[in-house]
Amino acid sequence: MKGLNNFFYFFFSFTWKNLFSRPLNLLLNLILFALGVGLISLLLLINTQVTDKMENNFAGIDLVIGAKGSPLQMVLCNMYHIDPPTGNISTENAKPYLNPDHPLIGNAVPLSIGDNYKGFRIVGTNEKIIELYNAELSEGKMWRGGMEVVVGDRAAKDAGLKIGDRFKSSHGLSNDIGMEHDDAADFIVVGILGKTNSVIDQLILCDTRAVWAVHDHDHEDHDHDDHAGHDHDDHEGHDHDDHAGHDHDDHEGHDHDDHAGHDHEGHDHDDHEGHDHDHSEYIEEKPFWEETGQEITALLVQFRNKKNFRALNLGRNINENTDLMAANPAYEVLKLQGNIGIGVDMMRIIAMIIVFVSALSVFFSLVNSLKERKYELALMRSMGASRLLVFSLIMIEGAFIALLGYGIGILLSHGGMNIFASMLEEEYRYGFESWIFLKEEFYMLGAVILIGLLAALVPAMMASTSDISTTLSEE
Amino acid sequence: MIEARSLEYNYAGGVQLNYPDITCERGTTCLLLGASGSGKTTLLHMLAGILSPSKGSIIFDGKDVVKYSKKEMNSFRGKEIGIVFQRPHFVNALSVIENLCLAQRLAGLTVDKSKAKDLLDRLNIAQKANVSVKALSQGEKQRVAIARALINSPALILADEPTSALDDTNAKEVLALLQDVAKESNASLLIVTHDNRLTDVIKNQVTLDIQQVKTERS
Repeated sequence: MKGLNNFFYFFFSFTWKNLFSRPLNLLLNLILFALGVGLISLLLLINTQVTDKMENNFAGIDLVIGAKGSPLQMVLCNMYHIDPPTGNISTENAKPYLNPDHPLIGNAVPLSIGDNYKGFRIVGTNEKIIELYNAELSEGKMWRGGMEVVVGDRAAKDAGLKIGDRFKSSHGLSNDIGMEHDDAADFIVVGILGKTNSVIDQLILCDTRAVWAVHDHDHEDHDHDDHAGHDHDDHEGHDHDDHAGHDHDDHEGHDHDDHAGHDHEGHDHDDHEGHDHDHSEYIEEKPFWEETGQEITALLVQFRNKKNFRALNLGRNINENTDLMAANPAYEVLKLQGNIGIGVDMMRIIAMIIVFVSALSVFFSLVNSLKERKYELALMRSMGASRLLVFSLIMIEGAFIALLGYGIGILLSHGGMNIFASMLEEEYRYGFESWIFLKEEFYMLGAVILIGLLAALVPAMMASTSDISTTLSEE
Repeated sequence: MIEARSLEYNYAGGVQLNYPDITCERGTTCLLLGASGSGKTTLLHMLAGILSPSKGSIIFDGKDVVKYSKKEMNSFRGKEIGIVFQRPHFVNALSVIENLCLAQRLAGLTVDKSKAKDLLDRLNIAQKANVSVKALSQGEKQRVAIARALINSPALILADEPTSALDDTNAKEVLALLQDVAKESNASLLIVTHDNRLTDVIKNQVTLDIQQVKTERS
């Protein structure tokens, strides 16, 4: 065993010393290999994760309905939460699609976008969004209206939100200072979602009306008394009987008894003094889409039957006959991937050319070094080294350069991904992993070593078959 | 003991060389003399197992080396032969001591660093053990080359013009050194030279005659 260890140690140190005796050559070869490998690996890392994210966020959504503009932008805004909205749509316009009895639409999730907290989007919606992304509460409970919010896993961790925390939202979609809705009521965290690896992880969810409340406040410059009178007066005296008259089929599974007995202990009502809250806040009001003069950003729609041709034509009908725009996310994303794909393919070709050039460079430097080392190798043969040993030594040099270049390249790509990921996170709140290793990278390791060996093959043959006597006679 | 019997070597161009018989006992020194082009280096390479003779035999301690397989030949070269080349060459990426240890390893022997150090000590270059061979002076290189030839205690030491580049004092010293270590390890020392300074000192001499170079029937 010791002999074997010595043997490997010899190969390693001999190769290392020989390579290091020509440091500039080594550096050039390493840079080339590292560039090629790093570029390919970086592309793999980004492409895999972007594709994963895109696919995870499809969430069975068949149609996005929103304001007219760029359909891609609408999809990116409402499904991936990376672009600003195309505009808003009025509740009147959105109402037909939110009707639970719509013949084609099985599920429609409203989204109201426009504010953020520490860069995490606050989305006014309804509880159906939880099902859409297969999310589950890990802590706390669902929002019941008012200013209650349920926070996605990432948003909770990165923004440091816990159950019972209160915060004010900022206008806009990025974390700009000075855009806080200072006068609006605080949001209160009541629930935190488990990790889903979908976009819901980075969202802060609340009732559609909560977003309206913040904005009514802002835009109309209500003072608190006004505000108190505003919404709540309407609802005072709102009772269950009234509600009962409402279409309860829509709210299947909604337990009003539970609701009535809802435990408000621990809620800090002092803050809301003057609002004259009573428990009616938590009692189902008429559906938000019945409110007039309000707006939402978009609807995420799932069809009842994805194969129904009328459903498939729904998007076109909306685009042609209404002021709204409908977009098929699969189609838009495919188009986007196609466009990105061209760039990725180009980069990949460039990376492969670099790898090819690095192989050539290794080949040339080995051939070149043989000119100097020819005598040296003949000398080694005269001292008892076999042809195979000389052949192996040169082959190992090729493989060694490739391996080292691969290592540096992988470090560069993952380090680069780390920087890139933090940039993306800053910008879009998407989390990218930089220290995951893809199986493609392991395949690449094999390929790269093979390329190194291939580059060394001819020089190794030249070295091992050269005539010792002739070489040693040359001076 | 090494004996060369009726060696013949055919060059690619059709030139044939016949060599006189050579016998060199262990512990003794033998000179191979001859003008340039008389095939001295070819003979040295044949004796070193680097080149195969076209005809004849090289008897080494009773065995005909010419009949060895490639593998046996590699091992034979590494263990039994020490060569001091005309101009000292090394593996340039390695230090002095590493070059000596490389010789041990390539011969398939265990690496014995202390033996290498002792040898360097004997040759008065111990202080250069960890220096890169590229940093040595010509004289130091010559000594390291001798050390390398001796490191595996070979039975035959072949020296190709070891003194031609040296002045009288150094030439004498190198010769003495080679003869000392050869005697010490009971090895045969065979010096190929055209240096007349050596002919006066060493009696066992074989002269390669240019007349023995024959051209075959075209």
